[in-house]
Amino acid sequence: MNENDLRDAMRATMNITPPPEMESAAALAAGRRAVRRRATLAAAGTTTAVLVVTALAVNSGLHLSGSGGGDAPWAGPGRPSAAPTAVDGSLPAPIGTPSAAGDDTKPSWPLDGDGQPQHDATARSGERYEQGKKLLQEVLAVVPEGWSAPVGKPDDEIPLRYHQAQVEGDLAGSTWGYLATATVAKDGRSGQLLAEVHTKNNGLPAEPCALARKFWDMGGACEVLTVGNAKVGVVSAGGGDQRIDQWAAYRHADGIVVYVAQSRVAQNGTSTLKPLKELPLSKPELAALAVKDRFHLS
Amino acid sequence: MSDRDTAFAEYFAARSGAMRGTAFLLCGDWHRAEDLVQTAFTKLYTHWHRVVRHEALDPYVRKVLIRTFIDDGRRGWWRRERPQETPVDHPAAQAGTDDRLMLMQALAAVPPRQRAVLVLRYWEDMSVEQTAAVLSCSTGTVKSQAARGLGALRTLMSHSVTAE
Repeated sequence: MNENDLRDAMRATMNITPPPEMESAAALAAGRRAVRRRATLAAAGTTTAVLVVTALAVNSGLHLSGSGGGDAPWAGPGRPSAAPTAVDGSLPAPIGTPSAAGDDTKPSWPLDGDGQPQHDATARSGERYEQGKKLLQEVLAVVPEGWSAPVGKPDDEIPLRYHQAQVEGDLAGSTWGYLATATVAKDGRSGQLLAEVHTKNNGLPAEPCALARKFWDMGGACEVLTVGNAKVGVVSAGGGDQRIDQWAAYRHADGIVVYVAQSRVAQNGTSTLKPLKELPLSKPELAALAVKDRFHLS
Repeated sequence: MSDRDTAFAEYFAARSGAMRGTAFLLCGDWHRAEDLVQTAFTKLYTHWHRVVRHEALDPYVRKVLIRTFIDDGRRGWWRRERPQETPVDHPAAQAGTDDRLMLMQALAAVPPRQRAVLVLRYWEDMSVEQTAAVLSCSTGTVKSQAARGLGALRTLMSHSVTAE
Protein backbone atom coordinates (compact mmCIF):
# COMPACT_ATOMS: atom_id res chain seq x y z
CA MET A 1 0.00 0.00 0.00
CA ASN A 2 1.38 3.38 -0.98
CA GLU A 3 0.04 6.81 -0.09
CA ASN A 4 -2.30 6.93 -3.09
CA ASP A 5 -3.77 3.56 -2.18
CA LEU A 6 -4.35 4.82 1.34
CA ARG A 7 -6.04 7.98 0.06
CA ASP A 8 -8.35 5.89 -2.12
CA ALA A 9 -9.10 3.49 0.71
CA MET A 10 -9.94 6.33 3.08
CA ARG A 11 -12.24 7.94 0.54
CA ALA A 12 -14.00 4.63 -0.03
CA THR A 13 -14.38 4.17 3.71
CA MET A 14 -15.88 7.62 4.10
CA ASN A 15 -18.41 6.97 1.36
CA ILE A 16 -20.48 5.03 3.84
CA THR A 17 -23.50 6.87 5.12
CA PRO A 18 -22.59 8.64 8.35
CA PRO A 19 -24.96 9.00 11.29
CA PRO A 20 -27.26 12.04 11.38
CA GLU A 21 -25.50 15.38 11.70
CA MET A 22 -24.59 16.57 15.15
CA GLU A 23 -26.78 19.34 16.52
CA SER A 24 -25.40 22.83 16.97
CA ALA A 25 -27.68 23.41 19.94
CA ALA A 26 -26.15 20.53 21.88
CA ALA A 27 -22.64 21.70 21.09
CA LEU A 28 -23.54 25.22 22.11
CA ALA A 29 -25.01 24.01 25.40
CA ALA A 30 -21.86 22.02 26.12
CA GLY A 31 -19.74 25.07 25.39
CA ARG A 32 -21.82 27.23 27.70
CA ARG A 33 -21.55 24.62 30.45
CA ALA A 34 -17.77 24.58 30.05
CA VAL A 35 -17.58 28.35 30.35
CA ARG A 36 -19.82 28.26 33.41
CA ARG A 37 -17.60 25.64 35.03
CA ARG A 38 -14.59 27.86 34.49
CA ALA A 39 -16.39 30.83 35.95
CA THR A 40 -17.66 28.78 38.88
CA LEU A 41 -14.14 27.68 39.70
CA ALA A 42 -13.05 31.28 39.58
CA ALA A 43 -15.86 32.30 41.90
CA ALA A 44 -15.16 29.39 44.22
CA GLY A 45 -11.64 30.69 44.65
CA THR A 46 -12.90 34.20 45.27
CA THR A 47 -15.48 32.97 47.74
CA THR A 48 -12.83 31.05 49.62
CA ALA A 49 -10.70 34.16 49.78
CA VAL A 50 -13.63 36.18 51.08
CA LEU A 51 -14.31 33.57 53.72
CA VAL A 52 -10.72 33.49 54.90
CA VAL A 53 -10.39 37.27 55.01
CA THR A 54 -13.71 37.60 56.81
CA ALA A 55 -12.75 34.98 59.34
CA LEU A 56 -9.46 36.72 60.00
CA ALA A 57 -11.14 40.07 60.38
CA VAL A 58 -13.81 38.79 62.76
CA ASN A 59 -11.56 36.65 64.85
CA SER A 60 -8.85 39.24 65.24
CA GLY A 61 -11.12 42.25 65.43
CA LEU A 62 -9.35 43.80 62.43
CA HIS A 63 -10.94 46.59 60.46
CA LEU A 64 -10.12 46.41 56.77
CA SER A 65 -9.41 49.97 55.77
CA GLY A 66 -11.02 50.97 52.51
CA SER A 67 -13.65 48.30 52.70
CA GLY A 68 -16.29 50.24 54.53
CA GLY A 69 -19.34 50.77 52.38
CA GLY A 70 -17.68 49.54 49.21
CA ASP A 71 -16.76 46.28 47.57
CA ALA A 72 -13.24 45.17 46.95
CA PRO A 73 -12.38 45.61 43.28
CA TRP A 74 -12.81 41.92 42.62
CA ALA A 75 -15.96 41.57 44.69
CA GLY A 76 -18.17 43.55 42.32
CA PRO A 77 -17.53 41.64 39.11
CA GLY A 78 -17.51 38.37 40.97
CA ARG A 79 -20.87 38.88 42.59
CA PRO A 80 -23.80 37.18 40.94
CA SER A 81 -26.88 39.08 39.91
CA ALA A 82 -29.59 38.89 42.52
CA ALA A 83 -27.15 37.19 44.83
CA PRO A 84 -28.86 35.77 47.89
CA THR A 85 -27.92 37.46 51.11
CA ALA A 86 -25.69 35.36 53.28
CA VAL A 87 -27.75 34.27 56.24
CA ASP A 88 -26.77 31.93 59.03
CA GLY A 89 -23.36 31.45 57.60
CA SER A 90 -24.52 30.47 54.14
CA LEU A 91 -22.39 31.76 51.28
CA PRO A 92 -23.58 33.81 48.31
CA ALA A 93 -24.03 31.82 45.15
CA PRO A 94 -20.92 31.94 42.98
CA ILE A 95 -20.79 32.99 39.36
CA GLY A 96 -22.44 30.42 37.18
CA THR A 97 -24.59 28.95 39.89
CA PRO A 98 -28.09 28.11 38.68
CA SER A 99 -30.68 30.62 39.68
CA ALA A 100 -33.11 29.98 42.50
CA ALA A 101 -35.66 28.81 39.97
CA GLY A 102 -33.30 26.03 39.03
CA ASP A 103 -32.80 27.27 35.49
CA ASP A 104 -29.27 26.15 34.77
CA THR A 105 -29.35 27.73 31.33
CA LYS A 106 -29.05 31.22 32.75
CA PRO A 107 -25.70 31.58 34.48
CA SER A 108 -25.00 34.65 36.57
CA TRP A 109 -22.00 36.34 35.03
CA PRO A 110 -20.00 39.15 36.57
CA LEU A 111 -21.71 42.49 36.34
CA ASP A 112 -21.05 44.77 33.42
CA GLY A 113 -20.61 48.50 33.87
CA ASP A 114 -24.35 49.04 33.56
CA GLY A 115 -24.98 46.86 36.60
CA GLN A 116 -26.42 44.06 34.51
CA PRO A 117 -24.80 40.60 34.27
CA GLN A 118 -22.55 39.99 31.30
CA HIS A 119 -24.08 37.98 28.45
CA ASP A 120 -21.12 35.62 28.53
CA ALA A 121 -17.52 35.67 29.72
CA THR A 122 -16.81 38.92 27.89
CA ALA A 123 -17.24 42.30 29.57
CA ARG A 124 -19.06 44.83 27.40
CA SER A 125 -18.68 47.81 29.72
CA GLY A 126 -17.24 48.72 33.09
CA GLU A 127 -13.81 48.51 34.65
CA ARG A 128 -12.67 45.32 32.92
CA TYR A 129 -13.93 46.44 29.54
CA GLU A 130 -11.95 49.64 29.98
CA GLN A 131 -8.82 47.64 30.76
CA GLY A 132 -9.20 45.81 27.46
CA LYS A 133 -9.68 49.13 25.72
CA LYS A 134 -6.60 50.51 27.44
CA LEU A 135 -4.59 47.54 26.25
CA LEU A 136 -5.49 48.38 22.66
CA GLN A 137 -4.34 51.96 23.20
CA GLU A 138 -1.04 50.66 24.56
CA VAL A 139 -0.61 48.40 21.54
CA LEU A 140 -1.26 51.34 19.22
CA ALA A 141 1.28 53.37 21.17
CA VAL A 142 4.07 50.94 20.33
CA VAL A 143 3.40 50.65 16.59
CA PRO A 144 6.87 51.23 15.11
CA GLU A 145 7.71 54.48 13.40
CA GLY A 146 6.93 54.40 9.72
CA TRP A 147 4.00 52.03 10.18
CA SER A 148 0.32 52.94 10.17
CA ALA A 149 -2.51 51.39 12.17
CA PRO A 150 -5.60 51.55 9.94
CA VAL A 151 -9.15 51.47 11.26
CA GLY A 152 -12.39 50.07 9.94
CA LYS A 153 -13.64 46.74 8.68
CA PRO A 154 -12.47 45.31 5.39
CA ASP A 155 -14.55 43.00 3.26
CA ASP A 156 -14.43 40.12 5.73
CA GLU A 157 -16.09 42.34 8.37
CA ILE A 158 -13.43 41.63 10.98
CA PRO A 159 -12.39 44.94 12.56
CA LEU A 160 -8.81 46.03 12.04
CA ARG A 161 -8.61 47.02 15.69
CA TYR A 162 -10.08 44.89 18.41
CA HIS A 163 -10.06 44.57 22.17
CA GLN A 164 -11.80 42.48 24.76
CA ALA A 165 -11.82 41.58 28.44
CA GLN A 166 -12.89 38.10 29.43
CA VAL A 167 -13.31 36.49 32.82
CA GLU A 168 -11.18 33.39 33.21
CA GLY A 169 -10.62 31.03 36.05
CA ASP A 170 -9.11 27.64 35.49
CA LEU A 171 -7.51 27.77 38.92
CA ALA A 172 -8.49 29.20 42.25
CA GLY A 173 -8.83 32.95 42.11
CA SER A 174 -10.78 35.22 39.85
CA THR A 175 -8.71 35.97 36.78
CA TRP A 176 -9.28 38.21 33.80
CA GLY A 177 -7.71 38.10 30.39
CA TYR A 178 -7.34 41.16 28.19
CA LEU A 179 -6.69 40.90 24.49
CA ALA A 180 -5.99 43.64 21.95
CA THR A 181 -5.09 43.38 18.30
CA ALA A 182 -4.17 46.09 15.84
CA THR A 183 -3.57 45.76 12.14
CA VAL A 184 -0.34 47.46 11.13
CA ALA A 185 0.43 48.45 7.56
CA LYS A 186 3.38 49.57 5.51
CA ASP A 187 4.03 49.83 1.79
CA GLY A 188 0.64 48.41 0.92
CA ARG A 189 1.01 45.32 3.09
CA SER A 190 -0.66 44.51 6.40
CA GLY A 191 0.20 42.48 9.46
CA GLN A 192 -0.81 42.50 13.07
CA LEU A 193 0.41 43.39 16.53
CA LEU A 194 -1.28 41.73 19.48
CA ALA A 195 -1.06 41.86 23.24
CA GLU A 196 -2.69 39.56 25.76
CA VAL A 197 -2.56 40.08 29.52
CA HIS A 198 -3.63 37.66 32.24
CA THR A 199 -4.17 39.03 35.72
CA LYS A 200 -2.83 37.42 38.89
CA ASN A 201 -3.55 33.82 39.88
CA ASN A 202 -3.74 32.81 36.24
CA GLY A 203 -2.10 29.41 36.76
CA LEU A 204 0.29 29.93 33.85
CA PRO A 205 3.83 28.51 34.08
CA ALA A 206 6.64 30.52 35.63
CA GLU A 207 9.49 29.33 33.43
CA PRO A 208 9.80 31.77 30.48
CA CYS A 209 9.73 29.21 27.67
CA ALA A 210 7.01 27.09 29.26
CA LEU A 211 5.01 30.29 29.59
CA ALA A 212 5.68 31.26 25.97
CA ARG A 213 4.73 27.86 24.60
CA LYS A 214 1.47 28.02 26.53
CA PHE A 215 0.32 30.97 24.43
CA TRP A 216 -2.84 29.73 22.68
CA ASP A 217 -1.35 26.25 23.13
CA MET A 218 0.77 26.83 20.05
CA GLY A 219 4.05 25.46 21.41
CA GLY A 220 7.03 26.14 19.16
CA ALA A 221 10.77 26.60 19.36
CA CYS A 222 11.61 28.99 22.18
CA GLU A 223 14.61 31.00 23.28
CA VAL A 224 15.08 33.08 26.42
CA LEU A 225 16.08 36.71 25.92
CA THR A 226 17.27 38.94 28.74
CA VAL A 227 15.85 42.43 29.08
CA GLY A 228 17.59 44.14 31.99
CA ASN A 229 17.04 41.67 34.80
CA ALA A 230 14.01 40.13 33.16
CA LYS A 231 13.92 36.78 31.36
CA VAL A 232 11.53 36.70 28.42
CA GLY A 233 10.51 33.63 26.44
CA VAL A 234 10.32 34.27 22.69
CA VAL A 235 8.81 31.79 20.26
CA SER A 236 8.87 31.82 16.48
CA ALA A 237 6.04 29.73 15.07
CA GLY A 238 6.66 27.25 12.32
CA GLY A 239 4.57 24.91 10.25
CA GLY A 240 0.87 25.05 9.68
CA ASP A 241 -0.37 27.11 12.61
CA GLN A 242 -0.28 30.52 11.00
CA ARG A 243 -2.31 32.44 13.51
CA ILE A 244 0.72 34.20 14.94
CA ASP A 245 4.30 34.28 13.68
CA GLN A 246 6.22 35.35 16.76
CA TRP A 247 5.50 36.16 20.38
CA ALA A 248 7.19 37.08 23.63
CA ALA A 249 6.04 36.07 27.10
CA TYR A 250 6.87 37.66 30.43
CA ARG A 251 5.62 36.99 33.92
CA HIS A 252 5.86 39.94 36.28
CA ALA A 253 6.87 39.39 39.88
CA ASP A 254 3.26 39.84 41.00
CA GLY A 255 2.07 37.06 38.67
CA ILE A 256 0.59 39.18 35.90
CA VAL A 257 1.48 37.63 32.55
CA VAL A 258 2.03 39.60 29.36
CA TYR A 259 2.18 38.21 25.84
CA VAL A 260 3.15 40.47 22.96
CA ALA A 261 2.89 38.98 19.48
CA GLN A 262 3.19 39.84 15.83
CA SER A 263 1.97 38.30 12.63
CA ARG A 264 2.68 38.78 8.95
CA VAL A 265 -1.03 38.46 8.28
CA ALA A 266 -3.65 40.89 9.50
CA GLN A 267 -6.47 39.30 11.46
CA ASN A 268 -8.70 39.82 8.48
CA GLY A 269 -6.78 37.09 6.72
CA THR A 270 -9.63 36.39 4.32
CA SER A 271 -9.58 39.92 2.97
CA THR A 272 -7.57 41.16 0.04
CA LEU A 273 -4.90 42.84 2.17
CA LYS A 274 -1.44 41.63 1.26
CA PRO A 275 0.56 40.01 4.07
CA LEU A 276 3.84 41.47 5.24
CA LYS A 277 7.13 40.25 3.91
CA GLU A 278 8.90 41.07 7.15
CA LEU A 279 7.63 41.30 10.71
CA PRO A 280 7.37 44.80 12.21
CA LEU A 281 9.57 44.08 15.24
CA SER A 282 12.78 42.19 15.89
CA LYS A 283 12.88 39.53 18.61
CA PRO A 284 14.71 41.81 21.09
CA GLU A 285 12.18 44.56 20.42
CA LEU A 286 9.31 42.16 21.00
CA ALA A 287 10.90 40.93 24.24
CA ALA A 288 11.50 44.49 25.40
CA LEU A 289 7.83 45.34 24.87
CA ALA A 290 6.68 42.35 26.94
CA VAL A 291 8.31 43.71 30.10
CA LYS A 292 7.05 47.27 29.65
CA ASP A 293 4.93 48.67 32.46
CA ARG A 294 2.39 49.87 29.90
CA PHE A 295 1.14 46.30 29.47
CA HIS A 296 1.17 45.52 33.19
CA LEU A 297 -2.60 45.66 33.68
CA SER A 298 -4.37 44.31 36.73
CA MET B 1 -28.19 34.62 21.57
CA SER B 2 -24.90 36.51 21.82
CA ASP B 3 -22.65 37.21 18.84
CA ARG B 4 -20.30 34.49 19.98
CA ASP B 5 -23.10 31.93 20.25
CA THR B 6 -24.44 32.77 16.81
CA ALA B 7 -21.03 32.60 15.16
CA PHE B 8 -20.15 29.40 17.01
CA ALA B 9 -23.40 27.69 16.04
CA GLU B 10 -22.89 28.64 12.39
CA TYR B 11 -19.35 27.38 12.38
CA PHE B 12 -20.36 24.14 14.10
CA ALA B 13 -23.11 23.52 11.56
CA ALA B 14 -20.67 24.09 8.71
CA ARG B 15 -17.66 22.16 9.93
CA SER B 16 -18.61 19.54 12.51
CA GLY B 17 -19.38 16.98 9.80
CA ALA B 18 -15.92 17.19 8.25
CA MET B 19 -14.27 17.11 11.66
CA ARG B 20 -16.32 14.05 12.59
CA GLY B 21 -15.11 12.30 9.44
CA THR B 22 -11.50 12.92 10.42
CA ALA B 23 -12.24 11.74 13.93
CA PHE B 24 -13.88 8.58 12.59
CA LEU B 25 -10.78 7.69 10.60
CA LEU B 26 -8.72 8.21 13.72
CA CYS B 27 -10.79 6.14 16.10
CA GLY B 28 -12.97 3.92 13.89
CA ASP B 29 -16.13 4.51 15.88
CA TRP B 30 -18.83 7.08 15.15
CA HIS B 31 -19.84 7.51 18.77
CA ARG B 32 -16.28 8.09 19.87
CA ALA B 33 -15.76 10.37 16.88
CA GLU B 34 -18.66 12.51 18.04
CA ASP B 35 -17.20 12.64 21.53
CA LEU B 36 -13.91 13.86 20.11
CA VAL B 37 -15.65 16.50 18.01
CA GLN B 38 -17.72 17.63 20.97
CA THR B 39 -14.62 17.97 23.12
CA ALA B 40 -12.81 19.98 20.45
CA PHE B 41 -15.71 22.33 19.82
CA THR B 42 -16.32 22.84 23.54
CA LYS B 43 -12.74 23.99 23.91
CA LEU B 44 -13.17 26.21 20.89
CA TYR B 45 -16.22 27.82 22.50
CA THR B 46 -14.34 28.61 25.69
CA HIS B 47 -11.49 30.17 23.68
CA TRP B 48 -13.64 31.67 20.94
CA HIS B 49 -12.35 35.20 21.31
CA ARG B 50 -8.75 34.10 21.09
CA VAL B 51 -9.24 32.38 17.77
CA VAL B 52 -10.07 35.61 16.06
CA ARG B 53 -9.36 34.86 12.44
CA HIS B 54 -11.95 32.69 10.75
CA GLU B 55 -9.38 30.73 8.82
CA ALA B 56 -7.72 29.83 12.14
CA LEU B 57 -10.79 27.99 13.40
CA ASP B 58 -10.21 24.79 11.45
CA PRO B 59 -6.54 24.41 12.47
CA TYR B 60 -7.44 25.09 16.09
CA VAL B 61 -10.29 22.55 16.25
CA ARG B 62 -8.29 19.98 14.33
CA LYS B 63 -5.36 20.36 16.69
CA VAL B 64 -7.51 19.91 19.78
CA LEU B 65 -9.24 16.93 18.20
CA ILE B 66 -5.96 15.21 17.33
CA ARG B 67 -4.45 15.86 20.75
CA THR B 68 -7.55 14.62 22.52
CA PHE B 69 -7.45 11.47 20.43
CA ILE B 70 -3.77 10.85 21.20
CA ASP B 71 -4.25 11.58 24.90
CA ASP B 72 -7.16 9.15 25.01
CA GLY B 73 -4.91 6.57 23.39
CA ARG B 74 -2.37 7.08 26.16
CA ARG B 75 -5.09 6.53 28.71
CA GLY B 76 -5.99 3.26 27.10
CA TRP B 77 -9.35 4.00 25.53
CA TRP B 78 -8.24 2.58 22.24
CA ARG B 79 -7.16 -0.65 23.84
CA ARG B 80 -10.62 -1.14 25.27
CA GLU B 81 -12.70 -0.46 22.17
CA ARG B 82 -12.09 -1.49 18.58
CA PRO B 83 -14.12 -1.32 15.39
CA GLN B 84 -16.72 -4.05 15.32
CA GLU B 85 -17.60 -6.48 12.59
CA THR B 86 -21.04 -4.89 12.35
CA PRO B 87 -21.10 -1.10 12.76
CA VAL B 88 -23.42 -0.11 15.57
CA ASP B 89 -25.60 2.20 13.51
CA HIS B 90 -25.42 0.32 10.22
CA PRO B 91 -26.81 -3.18 10.57
CA ALA B 92 -27.28 -3.60 6.82
CA ALA B 93 -24.05 -4.64 5.13
CA GLN B 94 -23.09 -2.67 2.03
CA ALA B 95 -20.94 -3.53 -0.95
CA GLY B 96 -17.31 -2.93 -0.15
CA THR B 97 -17.88 -3.13 3.58
CA ASP B 98 -15.22 -5.82 3.95
CA ASP B 99 -12.55 -3.62 2.39
CA ARG B 100 -13.53 -0.68 4.53
CA LEU B 101 -13.61 -2.76 7.66
CA MET B 102 -10.22 -4.19 6.77
CA LEU B 103 -8.77 -0.68 6.47
CA MET B 104 -10.28 0.43 9.76
CA GLN B 105 -8.99 -2.66 11.52
CA ALA B 106 -5.54 -2.16 10.03
CA LEU B 107 -5.56 1.52 11.03
CA ALA B 108 -6.59 0.48 14.53
CA ALA B 109 -3.45 -1.61 14.78
CA VAL B 110 -1.21 1.34 13.93
CA PRO B 111 0.01 3.35 16.96
CA PRO B 112 -2.09 6.49 17.58
CA ARG B 113 0.53 9.06 16.61
CA GLN B 114 1.35 7.22 13.38
CA ARG B 115 -2.34 6.96 12.69
CA ALA B 116 -2.74 10.68 13.26
CA VAL B 117 0.09 11.36 10.81
CA LEU B 118 -1.52 9.14 8.19
CA VAL B 119 -4.93 10.77 8.56
CA LEU B 120 -3.57 14.31 8.51
CA ARG B 121 -1.26 13.69 5.56
CA TYR B 122 -3.47 11.51 3.36
CA TRP B 123 -7.02 12.37 4.38
CA GLU B 124 -6.68 16.03 5.30
CA ASP B 125 -3.99 16.46 2.61
CA MET B 126 -1.86 18.51 4.97
CA SER B 127 1.78 19.18 4.18
CA VAL B 128 4.59 17.71 6.24
CA GLU B 129 5.10 21.11 7.87
CA GLN B 130 1.43 21.55 8.69
CA THR B 131 1.24 18.05 10.15
CA ALA B 132 4.32 18.71 12.27
CA ALA B 133 2.70 21.87 13.61
CA VAL B 134 -0.49 20.07 14.58
CA LEU B 135 1.41 17.29 16.32
CA SER B 136 4.05 19.59 17.82
CA CYS B 137 6.91 17.53 16.41
CA SER B 138 9.62 17.93 13.80
CA THR B 139 9.09 17.47 10.08
CA GLY B 140 11.55 14.59 10.23
CA THR B 141 9.35 12.84 12.74
CA VAL B 142 6.32 13.29 10.49
CA LYS B 143 8.18 11.78 7.55
CA SER B 144 9.42 8.81 9.53
CA GLN B 145 6.04 8.23 11.19
CA ALA B 146 4.28 8.38 7.83
CA ALA B 147 6.71 5.88 6.34
CA ARG B 148 6.37 3.54 9.31
CA GLY B 149 2.60 3.89 9.33
CA LEU B 150 2.30 3.09 5.65
CA GLY B 151 4.64 0.17 6.11
CA ALA B 152 2.59 -1.13 9.01
CA LEU B 153 -0.63 -0.77 7.01
CA ARG B 154 0.94 -2.56 4.06
CA THR B 155 1.93 -5.46 6.27
CA LEU B 156 -1.41 -5.60 8.06
CA MET B 157 -3.45 -5.43 4.88
CA SER B 158 -1.39 -8.08 3.13
CA HIS B 159 -1.74 -10.34 6.15
CA SER B 160 -5.48 -9.87 6.08
CA VAL B 161 -5.63 -10.75 2.41
CA THR B 162 -3.36 -13.72 2.89
CA ALA B 163 -5.46 -14.94 5.78
CA GLU B 164 -8.52 -15.00 3.59
